[in-house]
Parts: sequence; structure tokens; C-alpha cells
Amino acid sequence: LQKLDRFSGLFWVILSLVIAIHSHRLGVGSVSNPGPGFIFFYAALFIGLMAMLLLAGSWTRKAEGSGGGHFENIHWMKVVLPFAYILLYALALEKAGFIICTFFLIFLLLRTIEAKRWFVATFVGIAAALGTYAMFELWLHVRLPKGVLGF
Amino acid sequence: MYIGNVMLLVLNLPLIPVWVRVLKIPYSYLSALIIVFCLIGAYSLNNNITDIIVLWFFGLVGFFAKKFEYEPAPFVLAFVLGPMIETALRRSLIMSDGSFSIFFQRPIAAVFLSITIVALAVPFFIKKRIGAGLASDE
Repeated sequence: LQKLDRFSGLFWVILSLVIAIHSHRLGVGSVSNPGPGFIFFYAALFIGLMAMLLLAGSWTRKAEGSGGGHFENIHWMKVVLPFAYILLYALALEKAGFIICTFFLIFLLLRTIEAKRWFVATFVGIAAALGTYAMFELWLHVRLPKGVLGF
Repeated sequence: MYIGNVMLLVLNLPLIPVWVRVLKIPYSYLSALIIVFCLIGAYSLNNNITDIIVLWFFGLVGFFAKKFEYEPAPFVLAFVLGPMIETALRRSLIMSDGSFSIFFQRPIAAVFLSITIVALAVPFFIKKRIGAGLASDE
């Protein structure tokens, strides 16, 4: 458990630092005339303080087991791959367009994560990409990226 | 907003059987569609890829938060109340010329602040008392 607390404490310390730096750039202002970054800055300081208390506690507390139980029995590929696909989707969306990217995203999710057959993954990928395009772009008039191919 | 919520209620009540039927779709297909809907929702806010990257990042944070057993309720409360707190706190500080006494001098604010302090303090004292009870038993 201490090890997990160290990881999460470190994460929140880093995040609070990033928020504090960026909110300082926005302008903290004073108590009588708060700037746009006022709340964020002091919220970041509070989060940082809490995270440091968590970190300090993780070193001073007695050992309460390894804490590895939270991450046992996880198929890491089923976690890493969807995140990788979504990141690739975000990077390729404006270049390749919504339909192509969505087809590949659903195809890869079904084929590699859910182990569906080629035919099923392809069919569902095409149907979902065209269906969501029709629903959002044509019906709800959401402006989805067209990509270099124009769709 | 109120009209929108009323319209949602009017539309959704007769459609409850349809929404229930959605749950009969196998989770493997449903999860892929949920991801796509989330991505479209994030992108359509500002037509900006950065929003998808933010979604990706907080998806990652959410995964680890679940594994680290963080309670989701305070997160949701903070997301809903955060912008309201920001506006109200700034307005109050400007009104009081930077004095925090405005939160204690007004009766409604003072009552709620007292309740908050009691709610924060009570678990601490209960824990301390239980600890003292265990020590005396030994």
C-alpha cells in the first residue's frame, strides 16, 4: 500500500506543480482583486500539500502488505492497446478523416482486444463508422474532420 | 437549461424500454461504441484534437484512480460544483474587499461553514476515541 501511495502522491505533487505554474502565468492577483488563476493556484497548492502529506505518510507508516493486489490479474495488453489506439486516433483524425479513423479504431478494438473474427470486426467497424457519421454529421450537423480524402 | 431538462424528461420517459434494450448489446461491441461516442463528444466541443488528448489523459488518470480505489463521488461533485465555487468565491472576495470574514458574518454562510467544520472534525474525533478505546482495552 505504501508503494501505491508513493506513486499516487508523486503524481499529485507533479500535477499540482504543473497547475500552479500555469495558473501563475494566468495571473493570481490578490485576495481583494483575484485574477483568472487565483482559484487554480491555491487549489494546486492545497492538492500539493495533501499529496506531500500522503507521500510523507507512506514513508512513516508501518508496512501494510505489498499493495500489489490492485494490479494483479490485469491483462496489460487490454489496457495499453486501447489507450494506444485512442492516442493514434487523436493524432490521425484530422489527416485521415473521421470515417477512416473510426473504422480502424473499432476494427482494431474488436480484433485485438475482443478477439472477434475478421469478418465481424470489419463489418461492425464499417457499420459503426458510417452509422455514427450519418447520425452526427448528417443528422445532428456536428462538424467532424474530413481528412485529406474529403470524408 | 430548465426547458431542455423538461424536454429530456418528456422524451426519455416513453423511450425507457428502448434504452433498456441497448443494454442487451454485447459489452464487447458496446464498449467500442462508447469510446467512439466519447471521442465525438470531446471533439465536437471545440472541434479541437486537444480535447481528445485531454480525454485520453484523464481516461488514463481514471483507470489508475479506479485501481488505487479513489472514490468517484468527490470527483463528480468537484466537477459540478467547481465552476460555481470559483465564481462565487471570487465575487464574495471582491464584495468584501479581500476579507474572508464575509464567510463568517453572513448567517447562511456561517451555518453551512459550521456544519462543514463539524462534518470534517467528527470522523477525526471518532477515530481518536476508537484508538483510545483500543489502547485502554490492551
